[in-house]
Amino acid sequence: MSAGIERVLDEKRVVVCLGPGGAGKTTISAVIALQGVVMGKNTLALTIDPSWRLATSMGMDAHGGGNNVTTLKSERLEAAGIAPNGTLDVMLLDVKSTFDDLIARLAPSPGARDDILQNDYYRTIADSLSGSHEYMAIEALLAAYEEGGYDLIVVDTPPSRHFLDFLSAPKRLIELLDAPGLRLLARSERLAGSLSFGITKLWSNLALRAIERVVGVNVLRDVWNFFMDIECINDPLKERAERAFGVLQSDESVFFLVTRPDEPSLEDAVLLLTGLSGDGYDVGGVVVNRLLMEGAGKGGELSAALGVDEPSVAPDLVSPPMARKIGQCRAEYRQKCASEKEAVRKLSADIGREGLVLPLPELDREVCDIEGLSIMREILFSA
Amino acid sequence: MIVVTGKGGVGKTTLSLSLAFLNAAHGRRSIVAFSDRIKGVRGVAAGVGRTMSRERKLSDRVYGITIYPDKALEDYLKKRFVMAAPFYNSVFRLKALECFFEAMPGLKELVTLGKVWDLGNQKRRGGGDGSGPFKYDQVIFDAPSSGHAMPLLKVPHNVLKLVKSGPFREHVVWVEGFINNPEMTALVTVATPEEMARVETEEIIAQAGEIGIAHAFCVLNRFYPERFTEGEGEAVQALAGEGAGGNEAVIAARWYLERERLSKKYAVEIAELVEGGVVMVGERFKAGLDLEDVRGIAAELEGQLSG
Repeated sequence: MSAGIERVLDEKRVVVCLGPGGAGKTTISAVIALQGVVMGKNTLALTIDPSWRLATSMGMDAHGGGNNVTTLKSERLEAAGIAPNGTLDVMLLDVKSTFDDLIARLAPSPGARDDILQNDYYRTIADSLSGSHEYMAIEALLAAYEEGGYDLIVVDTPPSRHFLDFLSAPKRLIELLDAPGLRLLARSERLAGSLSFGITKLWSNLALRAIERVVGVNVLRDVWNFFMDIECINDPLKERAERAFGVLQSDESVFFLVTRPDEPSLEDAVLLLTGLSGDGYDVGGVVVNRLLMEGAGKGGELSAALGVDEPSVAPDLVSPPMARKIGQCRAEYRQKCASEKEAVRKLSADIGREGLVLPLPELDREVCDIEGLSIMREILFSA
Repeated sequence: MIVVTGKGGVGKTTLSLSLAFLNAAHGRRSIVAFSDRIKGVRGVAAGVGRTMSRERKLSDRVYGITIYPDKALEDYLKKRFVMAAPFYNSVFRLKALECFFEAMPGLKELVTLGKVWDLGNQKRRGGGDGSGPFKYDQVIFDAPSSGHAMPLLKVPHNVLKLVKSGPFREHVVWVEGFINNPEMTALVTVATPEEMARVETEEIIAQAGEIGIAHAFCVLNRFYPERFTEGEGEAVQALAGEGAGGNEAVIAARWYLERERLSKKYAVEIAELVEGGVVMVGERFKAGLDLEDVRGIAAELEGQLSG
């Protein structure tokens, strides 16, 4: 298994971690990034919403504005047992400033840029419009891919209601920004304005009246102006997004799914895998995170001494009530193990492809610092 | 209305259903409004299907419905334009309009909230003049995970800044009115004994405060109740120290001890964050739950939520 992922990492430049919230995407993407460093790659970990302590332990300022990139000190890596053969940059994505940068990059003139950036509607929606997080993650990825000079970029995706939102939401958003119908309306309004008929003239148009009746006229104006303003960057916007999707679908990119060993998450993983493969994306593996591992040394002398099976023979150290408690723990542990094992077996059967399932045991400590990540890296990538 | 939210995967759907079963045990009728296809809860998914476009009975006094934002928006617009009904399709099917409503931040979310709220305003049949008792005593909104739910609840606030007139503003004001009324709406947060879940709960509570939505209580799910005394815990660690660390029973006991420690730690930390207290729901030790588990959880809540 480990040789498999190592080879995958060696061949790819972009790794995307997808999965439901709470499965450990951020952690797994950090682990993969650390492996990249060990393999001598200059690596960027692009993250959206790391848990606070993780961010702090990586030396990031989680409250700083803008997309701040932090280069991890090699001593810090070494102290955690990571051979710093490559460098590691960590970037915390700021949706609004990525959007601003994108517009500044594409706007044909400073005036056009300012018009968009100062539009009320844009300022309200830039980081709240559905799909903008996903879109900006992909945009940041493209910028890093083309200009960052990294050997490996590991992307941690925002928590989405549906996994596939990461890919479909930006498309919907771009479609929206490019909406020909809205542009047409916007143009005719501009035309009407210049002929000093004003917007009233157009209210005879049923569609306009409908919008106006729902949201009122001032919003209509703001939205309108926004769509008129961005018209000038629509084509480059689309072209850029296409390039980004091109990278994701190319054989330089690979997707890892991260899930928990519970039925709903595993069901989703199968759906996602099928969807991704069908759309021509390469899936490198399904990491089943936080699995309970079956106990190694079973029963025997110690169990008897513990009195787990026969409380009456408990030694001094273990009182009968304590032995009963331990016995209860073991029963629960076994039940959970068996249940998870069965769920994972079903996952493997549903996937039907060998070697895709990568089980990762639950650690006996919380993973919230580089040391924890380093331990997970060893487990995931050790022979 | 109860809005159930929390980080992804903490068990919101299970908890929402448990609250409904708890109501049922007290003779109250409730409906759970799912914001998504039902995943995981086998008994429900297998028994009644993963989606319910109409209100359906799941059990005695327990009902369910799935609210889809797209559908909710369509219904809302249709209702608004009753007079234009014959034109509806020709007008609202226009690509331009579809895009516009898509681009209007919060429109869908607000309409979804309105729709959930309306479930609670229905009167029981036979009331005649509409003065009869309500059809449901409580509406439980199984909201999207908090990354989506809080923007959703914040929407009225933001939209009011943008939309200064028109019927939509009236709708927003109406929605804000019931969200901010502690007699009508309360938030139930769900968390698990983990750092990320604690952080997210903290954020939800802070945002709920900003929005002005009342927080009823927090459910700490997958909780490991205290089992070992301090001395017993030390004895288990001592066993591991004596070379028994690889024994299954010792592994299991240490695993429990660690979960127990985290459960206790986060119970304290979360209790400090929230008004209204924390209730614990024990770990179920399996990968998938069924309706029996949901009933069990309801019984567990019962003892802690007396009244």
